[in-house]
Amino acid sequence: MNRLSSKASTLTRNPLHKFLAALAVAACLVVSYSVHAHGIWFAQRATQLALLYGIGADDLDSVKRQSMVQSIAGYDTDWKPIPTKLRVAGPLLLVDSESQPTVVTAVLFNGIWSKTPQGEWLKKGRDEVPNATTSEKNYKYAVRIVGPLSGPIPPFPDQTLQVIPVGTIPQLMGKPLKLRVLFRGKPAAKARVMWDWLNDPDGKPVKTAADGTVTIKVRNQGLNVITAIFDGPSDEPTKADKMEHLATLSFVLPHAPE
Amino acid sequence: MRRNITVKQLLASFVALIVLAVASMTLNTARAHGNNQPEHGGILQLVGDMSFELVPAVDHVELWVEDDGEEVTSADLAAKLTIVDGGAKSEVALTPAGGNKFEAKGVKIAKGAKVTALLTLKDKQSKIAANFTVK
Repeated sequence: MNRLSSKASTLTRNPLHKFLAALAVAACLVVSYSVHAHGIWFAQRATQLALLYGIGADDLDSVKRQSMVQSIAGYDTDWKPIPTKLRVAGPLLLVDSESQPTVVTAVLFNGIWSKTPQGEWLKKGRDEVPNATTSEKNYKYAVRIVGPLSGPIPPFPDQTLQVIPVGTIPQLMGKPLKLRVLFRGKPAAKARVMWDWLNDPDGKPVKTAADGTVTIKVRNQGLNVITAIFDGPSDEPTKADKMEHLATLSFVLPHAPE
Repeated sequence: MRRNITVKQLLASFVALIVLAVASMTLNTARAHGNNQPEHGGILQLVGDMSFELVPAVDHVELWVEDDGEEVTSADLAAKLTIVDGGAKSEVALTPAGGNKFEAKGVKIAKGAKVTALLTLKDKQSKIAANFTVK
C-alpha cells in the first residue's frame, strides 16, 4: 500500500475525519445552493455605474448575460423616466443615462432551472427533467438609489419584487433601517431579506412581517446591497413549480471627507 | 514562564497605540484628491477624483473642473446643468470657456435651487455628476 492510499484508508477509519468529510459535503451543498441564487445589483466601477450579476464577492460575466436583461430604466427626482440604456465597456455593462438619474432599475430573466435528485442544477424545465426535486423560474430585479431623494421611492413598474426603504436611510452604518418588500406592488409577507448580499451572502435571512416590513441594521459605510427573495406562483406549471424572485436595493453611505 | 506586566508598561503600550492611530489618520489625510477649497468663489463638490466648482453669478453660471488636482481642458469635455428650483426644472447646456472652465450666459440660479452638473468625459460616453444646493 502506498502512502496516499494509506492516508485515504486512515481518513475513512477515523471518526473525526468522517465527521469533517460529512461537514465538507454539507458545505458543498450550501455552496451549490448559493451559486444558484445569483442576483443583479448596481455598483460603481471606475466612477461609472455598472449592472453586476453574481453573489457575494463573485461578480460574474454580466456582458454575456446582457440578452437576458429585460429592462433597464432611470428616473429623476419626480420619478419621471430618463432615457437610459446599458452599454458594454470591456467586461462591464455600464449604465448610460441622458441625465443624472435619481434611481436606476433593471430586470433580468435568468431562465428556468431544475435540480436533479443528485443535487445538480440544470437550465431546463420540469418537462425536460421529470424527476427534478424542484423546478423554478428565476427573475432578478435591482434598484439603485443614486440620489439625492426628494421623497419616498414608489413601486416601479418593472419591479415585480421590490425592496423599499420606509423613511429616510440613515447616513451611518449600524443604524436601523426599516424596509418594506413589495410583490406586485403589495406587501410581501415572509420574504427573506439579507442585509448584505456582497459581504455576507450566506447569512441567515430575516423574514418580513405580514405588512411586508422588516428592520435591519445598515451594514456598510459604503456600498450596501440588500436582498429580498420571494417565491411566487408559477405561470408555467408544466415547466416550473414556482417562480423565484430576487430583488436587490443598493445605495451608498458616504465616507468621511478625505 | 509567567511574566507580570507593570502599570508603566501598560501605559507605554497605550501611548504607542495612540501614536499609531494618529499616524494612520495622517496617512488617510494624505490620500485627499485635489483642492478642498473653492478657487473661484463658488461651491465645491468632490466626486471621487474629480472636483467641480459651481459659480452662480448674477447673469451667468460657471463650472470649473479638475481631475485629481489637475486642470482638465473643458474643450475636450461636455457639461450640462439640471436645475430644480421649487417645482420648476430646467436644463442648461454649458459651453467650454477656456482652460478648465465651462460657462452659460444669461442664466441666474436662485438661492436654494438644487443643481446637478453632469460632465461627459473625453471618451464621450463616461459621465460623472455632482450635486449642489445653491446658497
